Amino acid sequence: MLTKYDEYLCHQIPSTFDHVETSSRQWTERIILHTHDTTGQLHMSNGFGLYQNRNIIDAFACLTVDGKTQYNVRASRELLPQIDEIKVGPFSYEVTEPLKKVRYTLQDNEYGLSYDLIFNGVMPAHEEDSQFFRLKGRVEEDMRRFDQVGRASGWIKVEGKTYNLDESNFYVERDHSWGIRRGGGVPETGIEPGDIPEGYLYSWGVIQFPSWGGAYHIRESWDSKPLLASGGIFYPYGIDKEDQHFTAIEHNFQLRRDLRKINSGELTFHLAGGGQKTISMRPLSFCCMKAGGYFGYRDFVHGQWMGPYFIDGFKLDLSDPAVLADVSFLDNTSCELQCDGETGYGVFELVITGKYPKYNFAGY
Amino acid sequence: MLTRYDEFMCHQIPSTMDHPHTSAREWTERTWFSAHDISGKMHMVSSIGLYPNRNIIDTYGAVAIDGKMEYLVRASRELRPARDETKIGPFTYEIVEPMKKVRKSLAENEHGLSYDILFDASFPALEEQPQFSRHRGRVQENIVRYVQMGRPSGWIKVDGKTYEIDSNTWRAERDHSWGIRRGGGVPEMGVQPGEIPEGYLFNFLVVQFDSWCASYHIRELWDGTRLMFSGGIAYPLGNPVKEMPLTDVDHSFKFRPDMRFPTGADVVLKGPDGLKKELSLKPLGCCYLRPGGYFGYNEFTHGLWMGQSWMDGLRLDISDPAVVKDISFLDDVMCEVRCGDEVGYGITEIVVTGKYPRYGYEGY
Repeated sequence: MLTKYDEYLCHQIPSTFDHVETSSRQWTERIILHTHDTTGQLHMSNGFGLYQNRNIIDAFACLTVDGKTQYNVRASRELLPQIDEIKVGPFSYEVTEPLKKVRYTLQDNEYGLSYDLIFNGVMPAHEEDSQFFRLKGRVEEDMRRFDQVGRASGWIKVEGKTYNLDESNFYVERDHSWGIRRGGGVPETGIEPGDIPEGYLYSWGVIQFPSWGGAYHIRESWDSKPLLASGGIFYPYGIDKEDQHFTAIEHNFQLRRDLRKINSGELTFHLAGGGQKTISMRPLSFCCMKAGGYFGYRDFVHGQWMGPYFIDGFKLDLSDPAVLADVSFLDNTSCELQCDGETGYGVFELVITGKYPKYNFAGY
Repeated sequence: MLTRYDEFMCHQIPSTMDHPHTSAREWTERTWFSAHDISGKMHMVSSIGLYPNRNIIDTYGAVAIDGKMEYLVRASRELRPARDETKIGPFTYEIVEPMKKVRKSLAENEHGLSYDILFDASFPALEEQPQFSRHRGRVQENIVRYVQMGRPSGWIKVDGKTYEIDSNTWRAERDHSWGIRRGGGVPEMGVQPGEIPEGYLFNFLVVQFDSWCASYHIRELWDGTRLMFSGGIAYPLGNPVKEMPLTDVDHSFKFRPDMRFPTGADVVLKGPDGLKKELSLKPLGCCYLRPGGYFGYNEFTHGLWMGQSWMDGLRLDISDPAVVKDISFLDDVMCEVRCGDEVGYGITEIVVTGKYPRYGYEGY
């Protein structure tokens, strides 16, 4: 079936753009944007997932206000025939200028959260190294992702109160990924179950200072062996400097006592061209993205068939330790950062499961 | 490498849009565009070819005037790093509104031909059946194509004289195809040579009336055996009647005694539910495509590495039978087409090689 994408000279397979090369159920294309201020008052994570081989497109938005209340809206619909429209119920996403400007909108709805925002990139997108893993002979993951930093303008309305966002103090870090992805989704039937890792660490972060930006993505086994380490620094538009890859990424997080959540921390990036950069972080706010459908929460999981159309919404009191313990897992934390006398901002994700001696965890 | 195309949620493989899924040299993405007046006096054709595994993008623009002169400009450049720009020297191609409006322009240059033409679709695009064939076990062709018909506007300038394009008295047709394509290009080294077919027929038609349009694509062996058939009929944009596939086409061409060039044809289009359209084709003009690089002419062939940046121009006296004999092979023949009381316009391409008894040909 022809789509509007078929107009462009960028086909990758001898088929129309409604098809991907593989019939694998796991084919996933996702985008996410993290929009936050510099004070911790507002932090929103919202995204879309497109599952051509499941005939699903879904969307979510999670907004945390004052670090206390998280508002969540999730929606899903049958993908075909509107495969070339990133619209799911009241959610929509529009590319205004490729790799520079996108618009993301949640129209008024009964769940009390809406917004109309424009992302304006301030530095070129960073392409991560590919993530390729096999498990028991089968491709477990084969992903590409790019990250980009920018600013937001527009408005967010929550329970009748409108916040106006301007580019001077609203930051955005976003990514776009595609390929074979198993983690975080709906379990498969009829196959040998995977192994539960003894211990595992995942961390991803995208940061922006006035004079540079950076992104990293690491995965480690319990003994701190890197399974994946991708990252680099990049510079604002107009600065004639080559991007630099990281050769190593050192982390030293301080975690909360009650939860495996970032309290503060330092990261050191070793640059391919020599030298290093150490940043220190102070958390401002966070979104518990599990509520948005990562790994499943309240009957909704990314990429799960929810019927021809589904929408729900709810709010969570994150100041209630029981609620937080239930929903905290893949949390996106916005931070104020310091490096070489500059103040920057960024978002971080950190998941440590099972044993991880470096952070004093002996098991699950 | 990230491209502007990577912004869109339409990836087909776990790689960026600068890569097709295969490393086959034959991966080809092409557009074809034709604009002509209804008298057959002015006939412009232009194509773009994109060869990501050869690192080439090439193009030509051809204008035939009054059956007397054909003016051509041909250009080629190294594809990367400007992978996502459809600009080759003075040629640009711009997607104004996907599946609706595209713009082709050739800026002033030393070869005396320039133009700026906006295509505005009158009909939805028609998606062909894919063309898949193997030869000695290897995929010979695996191509997807769509065609669309509409009206052009703008201007063409030849040797200082400007011809305005009046969308009332002009028509335009275009196609876009991608995949594995061997025919018409640069021969491969080191492979067993292919066979020269005993006899073969290729026929393509795009025709538009005020209230409908149709296209078909046929390949036949010398004995009339169908190797491939695809066809469709469509109604103007906004018309609730959906496009329909054709089930069969009967063709009856008449040729010049000295050349395999059509002088007229009766064509019957057959569709579902007894749909039958009897067409009578009367050629009014022709733009010869071989000098544009199909199968090679004057040292240029589509998909041939011509260096980092290359351009040339040709002017051919098409009133000279010797010139026509040399360049005629794959010809865009502009026709007035009658169907009952309706008068339409379109382009046919017919190539008959070797023996084809039905049309009185016994061999090469």
